[in-house]
Amino acid sequence: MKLVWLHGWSLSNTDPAMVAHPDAPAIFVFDKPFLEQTRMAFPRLQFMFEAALEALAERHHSRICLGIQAEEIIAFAKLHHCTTICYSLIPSPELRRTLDALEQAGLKLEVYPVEYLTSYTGQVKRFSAFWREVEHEVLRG
Amino acid sequence: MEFKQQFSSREEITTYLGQMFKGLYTGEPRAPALHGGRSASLAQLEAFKAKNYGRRNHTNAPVSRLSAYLRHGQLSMLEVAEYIRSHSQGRERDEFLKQLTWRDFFYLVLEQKGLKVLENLEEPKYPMRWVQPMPDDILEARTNLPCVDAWVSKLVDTGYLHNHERLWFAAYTVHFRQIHWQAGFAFFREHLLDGDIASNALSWQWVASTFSHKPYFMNKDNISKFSSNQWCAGCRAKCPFDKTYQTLERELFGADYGWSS
Repeated sequence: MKLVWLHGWSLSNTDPAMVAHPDAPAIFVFDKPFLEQTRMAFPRLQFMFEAALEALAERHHSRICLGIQAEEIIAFAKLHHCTTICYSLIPSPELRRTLDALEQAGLKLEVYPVEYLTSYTGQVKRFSAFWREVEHEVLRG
Repeated sequence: MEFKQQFSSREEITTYLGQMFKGLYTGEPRAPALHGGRSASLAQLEAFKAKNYGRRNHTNAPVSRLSAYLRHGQLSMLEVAEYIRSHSQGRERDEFLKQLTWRDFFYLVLEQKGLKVLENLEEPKYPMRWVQPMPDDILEARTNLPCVDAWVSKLVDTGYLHNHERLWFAAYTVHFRQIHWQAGFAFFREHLLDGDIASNALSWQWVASTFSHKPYFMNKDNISKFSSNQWCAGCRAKCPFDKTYQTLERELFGADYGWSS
């Protein structure tokens, strides 16, 4: 069984992991330790909550919660007998701690790449140089 | 702690979340200026016309307001690009796509640098004396500079600032007030609906000169021109920006680097 984990970069039912598993349980967690350490104005929280509500509205089994991100995902996975966590890969290093905890708990990770606008994979430093490399691809589509 | 998922109104959501998140947010519970969700994001996309996008640097020009939806994955980069390609044309189409590509660029930098984006990526290009934290007069919009106070109020009230206003505010805090860009990054992250680690931190570093060849700064003429004189008309403040670029360069950075020539 698979579980879809929505994170702050993937709050939509069009998220690649959601699309790949339309019948899987899905969860979004507001990470309490992060919110305790980071100043966050209330409207930002409601904006994310509204997006999560709509993203999960059609799911038979879904949960939005506040807690330690990894612990909440592990608990929801156990509840639905899920052994694989599906999520969209974004480059944020802030997710690393959660991913490590999920793996340590014995859960498998199934990663869905997020689409970039360009296929460029070289080192980047200045936008002007990057733009010269990708201009044709971006404008042509 | 699990949240309920059925609500009868947006006001009910605000009240409910105010209790559930108690102690974990700043300010008062109030609904965001933009409605979160895929439906709202599509409505925003369909309402946007790239026509006149060439005037995007003017604060009263039409801009897409898609950044919060892109930030939280309610729209994908590819679908926005495809929409613009098929619904607009010419230079304005190309300019929008170029601006959209900044987001790709920032994410690639984040992928390659990781949490290092939260520290100076390069040495500052001038002898900086940055301090923290952000002073109260800025946070509370009482600098007595109408433009600066308006940017802060708009940021706090709406969770949004026009890109040019973001640059001006960043230049004011980092160069004119010598506040570390990390304090500005945290302030923006607190309030911007599109606040993220990549675009936000790297844009502040771009202004500060730790992710660019030179610091970004502006003078009064620039603010007046691109704001349609919105704040300068009738302003009686002692304006720190009312100087030539050459003068500002010497005063702010301690030498004539030739950045303004």
